[in-house]
Amino acid sequence: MQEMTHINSIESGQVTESPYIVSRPFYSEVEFNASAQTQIFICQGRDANALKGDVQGLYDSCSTAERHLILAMTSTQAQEQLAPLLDDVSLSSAVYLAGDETFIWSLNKYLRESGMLAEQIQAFKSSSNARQVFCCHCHSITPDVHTNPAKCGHCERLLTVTDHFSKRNVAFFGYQVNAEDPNDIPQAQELS
Amino acid sequence: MTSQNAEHQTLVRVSQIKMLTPTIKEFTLVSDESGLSAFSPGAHVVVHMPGATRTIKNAYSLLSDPQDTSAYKIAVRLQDDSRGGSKFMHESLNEGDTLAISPPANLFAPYWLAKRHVLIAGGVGITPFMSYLPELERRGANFELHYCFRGSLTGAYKARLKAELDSSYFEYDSDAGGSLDVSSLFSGRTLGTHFYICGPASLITAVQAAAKEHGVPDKAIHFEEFAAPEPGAPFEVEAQKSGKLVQVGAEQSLLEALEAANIEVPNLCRGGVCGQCVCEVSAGEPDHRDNFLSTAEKQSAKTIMPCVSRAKSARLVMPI
Repeated sequence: MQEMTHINSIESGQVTESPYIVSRPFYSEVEFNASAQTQIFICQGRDANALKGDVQGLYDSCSTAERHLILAMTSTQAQEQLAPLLDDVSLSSAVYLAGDETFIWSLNKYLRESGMLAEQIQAFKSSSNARQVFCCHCHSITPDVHTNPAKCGHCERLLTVTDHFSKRNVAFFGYQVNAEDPNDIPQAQELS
Repeated sequence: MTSQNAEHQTLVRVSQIKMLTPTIKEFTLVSDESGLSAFSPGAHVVVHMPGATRTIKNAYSLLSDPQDTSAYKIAVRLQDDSRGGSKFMHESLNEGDTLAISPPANLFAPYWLAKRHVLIAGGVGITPFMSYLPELERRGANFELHYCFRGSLTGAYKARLKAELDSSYFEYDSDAGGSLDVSSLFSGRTLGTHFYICGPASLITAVQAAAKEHGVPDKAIHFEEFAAPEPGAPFEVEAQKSGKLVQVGAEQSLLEALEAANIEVPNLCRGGVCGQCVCEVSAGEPDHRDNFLSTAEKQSAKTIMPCVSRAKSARLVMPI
């Protein structure tokens, strides 16, 4: 697989001369947004130990007056903590997301709906290869998928897990791998 | 159906001309055959005006209610250095005359996901916001209007707006010593606030600079400035594919000169905004006057917007 061009915003998704699936999230290096007056870190984890490596480094470099830290295990829990903050946070804010893909993109969706622009949101590389998969047959979402193909948790069809990611559904698109012959069961590969 | 020719022009009749200020006239355009199409807030039409030697095409924002299809309204400021467009509208056009316009196009629509809209108008730049306001009101949107003008010359809609908008209206009459402190527009703003600017380049630049200082994201700032093509020194263009040498007169835009030589260039706003007419340049030095190309693109001198830009060199070579 070829390297994608460098992009700063997780939503720009621009790609040049690459066969790469444009809709697959790509995580470029997170850059500190020095022009923002408020720096909001949203990290998946129970406590401050969740801050590691680059995330820790960036967080430590912000002054205590300008930075906010939200720690939560799920995006729903993070949203509950974020809601009062977003009500009166400055237009000049930057958000840094760290967690697995579902955590990152659920929060990205929530932040966009709260009025934040794509250029204000950056994400560290997903902490896990697990995917949520949207079944194009029964329209349900199966979380925590590690292999391709994988069984739909609702209709139980065996699905090809594609690289096409839906920001609206926060899931990768999946379709039946063996529609013509249900006995044809390809060997499962670990998702990367 | 309204009558349209091959270039998708619609013929309209000028049903009313109102002098709003000593420099701004408002024109009401109707279609005698059937209704006009509805449009979206911020849309403009390109008016085709017969000039002495060529057709002049200028973009003007529609300022009527977007849902009102009985008539279009535009307002035109008489430009001091007019190439003939605003001069024609002000001095030659009479009520009852027929005019060709291209159908509405929009390069300046409101961002409907915004939580608050801050509109900033300079002089005749109020026009696109005149079509915003009815729609913002209908949707119950949260907005405010800042209107800068010279009371004696350009405050075309001040009385009406003041009465209609009440506490969401702020005016700055430079003749009365008023001036907008652009920096104050940005203090204490919360997420989801979007800013829209229409007016002279100086206003747009000032607001952009203040936004940057306050750390406001670029995408929260929306602006429209139709740079009507301004005259300049004549130059010539070597159009390689067409095998023609095209002379661009002092009063003529590069796009108009190419059209006169039957070289087709897709175009839309004809005011350096939309990017439709972008052309490649293989030699010569462009004199960039548009609001579309990035600074880096302008410096590379590989492309040009022929609707408003010209040449610093005596000759441009273009692979068209």
